[in-house]
Amino acid sequence: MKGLLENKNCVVTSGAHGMGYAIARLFALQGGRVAICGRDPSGRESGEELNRIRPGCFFIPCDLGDMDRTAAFGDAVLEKMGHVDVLVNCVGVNKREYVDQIDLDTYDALQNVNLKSAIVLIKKFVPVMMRRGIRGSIVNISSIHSVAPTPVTGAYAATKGGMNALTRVLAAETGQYGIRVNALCCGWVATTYIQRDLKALEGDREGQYAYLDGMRDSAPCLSPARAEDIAGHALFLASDMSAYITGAVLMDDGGASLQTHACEFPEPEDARDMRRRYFDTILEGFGE
Amino acid sequence: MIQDDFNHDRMLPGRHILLAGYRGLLSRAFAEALKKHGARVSEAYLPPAEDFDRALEDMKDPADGLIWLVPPVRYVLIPDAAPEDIRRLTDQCLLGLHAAVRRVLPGMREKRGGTLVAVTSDYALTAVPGTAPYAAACAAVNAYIRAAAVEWSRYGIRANTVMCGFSAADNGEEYERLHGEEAPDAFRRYQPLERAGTAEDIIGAALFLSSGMSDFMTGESLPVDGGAMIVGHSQVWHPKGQPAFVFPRKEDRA
Repeated sequence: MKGLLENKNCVVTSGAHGMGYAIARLFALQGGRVAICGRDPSGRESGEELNRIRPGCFFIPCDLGDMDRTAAFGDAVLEKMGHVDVLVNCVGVNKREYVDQIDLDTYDALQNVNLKSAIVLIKKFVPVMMRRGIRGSIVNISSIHSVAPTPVTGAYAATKGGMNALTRVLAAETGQYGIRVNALCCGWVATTYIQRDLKALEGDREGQYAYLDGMRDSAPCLSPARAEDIAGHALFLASDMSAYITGAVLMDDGGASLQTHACEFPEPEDARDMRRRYFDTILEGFGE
Repeated sequence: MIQDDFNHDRMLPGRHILLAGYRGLLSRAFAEALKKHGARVSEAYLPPAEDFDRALEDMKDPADGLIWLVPPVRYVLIPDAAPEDIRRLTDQCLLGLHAAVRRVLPGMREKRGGTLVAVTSDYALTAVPGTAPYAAACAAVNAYIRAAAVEWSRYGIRANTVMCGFSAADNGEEYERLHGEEAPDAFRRYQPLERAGTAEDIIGAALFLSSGMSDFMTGESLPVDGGAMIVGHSQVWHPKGQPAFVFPRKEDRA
């Protein structure tokens, strides 16, 4: 059976861990040749695992906060693959500061990683798509913070808001080439930080349930999202299933941004059991 | 949640889908596609309301998903829009949806899961002359679906909308009437992807929203419109005029 991304050349930034890895893994399972990058050299293991799933996948260490290294990553990908069909800009770093206290050097660093690195890679891959008539797809991972503000996330929110605007403009510019550009604004996702906290509660299943229950009201949907949920949405946007969608900035937050004030939800009598079964899928995904 | 053995050719195996609303080219394409993807399909269309009500009543098994189709647009300026036409449109788009949702909701609550997908129009968000009644009806459906998404989320029920741009599926005659021989050129002026949507484009989005591939997405409206909403619709009503902004053509790029 052919996968949705059969023989497509895919790039997933920050694809060695967490949400990026879940996306890269699903793309590989769907037949894509996936290049991932990340700062930590241990990403090599992730690259090897992807290559076991789908030969042709690889990891290149890259600090996406360094534009020269990011450009070099782009060059290395083009040298190995020739062209890119799918680019997922998945990297995101945050620093909690009030806007009136933002350290400007920190702000620059966030901007470099979260937005400028995407522009550097777009400059590498999109002209090749245009020249070769490749009807590529770019998926930008943005954040609920870009539309539903939370205190002390101003710098991060600004970079993700910029990502949303970039998505629309690039979509308008490249549509005539058949290239599509879309974004996913993610809410709470059970990845690195949550996994770390759950690991600290290893052996204490009730404690792990209580920890996850603390996020219960962060969204109407059972929360937090699993990285594999976001991966499914990224696959949809990367593939021809979404062939007529471009310039879309989609809320991928379990409905969190719809809630304007606290409210009572109708709940089934076995709501607690439902939540625990859902939490089990998160814990199993983390090998707990 | 998407599994490792996800098969995009068979996305709804064993699911019972109620396909309801407007009967036309799109509904026929949907019925065929849903069955190809392994779903068992019940159908309920209006008008006429009696057939619709009977079909809902006759549905034996609880549905796992609802796909609701609004009718295609008919352009009419506000002075020419009769109140009874608006009432008919509201009945078809919103009251019909409400009846269908009330029919499927008990079963979904029992099963602790289900999907509601309304296929509406990007006119719910854009402003184009001649679309006031239709836009209002589509916006009402979008708002209803958003509220349903939040209201029944704790039962594992998700609700989303597919907002269609111009689709050749049911809009062909209306578009030809509006633009005549300039119809193909209009796409190049107001849609980044420079083509009409197809039934397959719409069905792809609805399949995504009706399956586990879209778990955790709820209350969202997917714009399946070739990017029309991001560049504005102002050129549509002035087929012989000049658009306000012309994107650089690829032939002219350095």
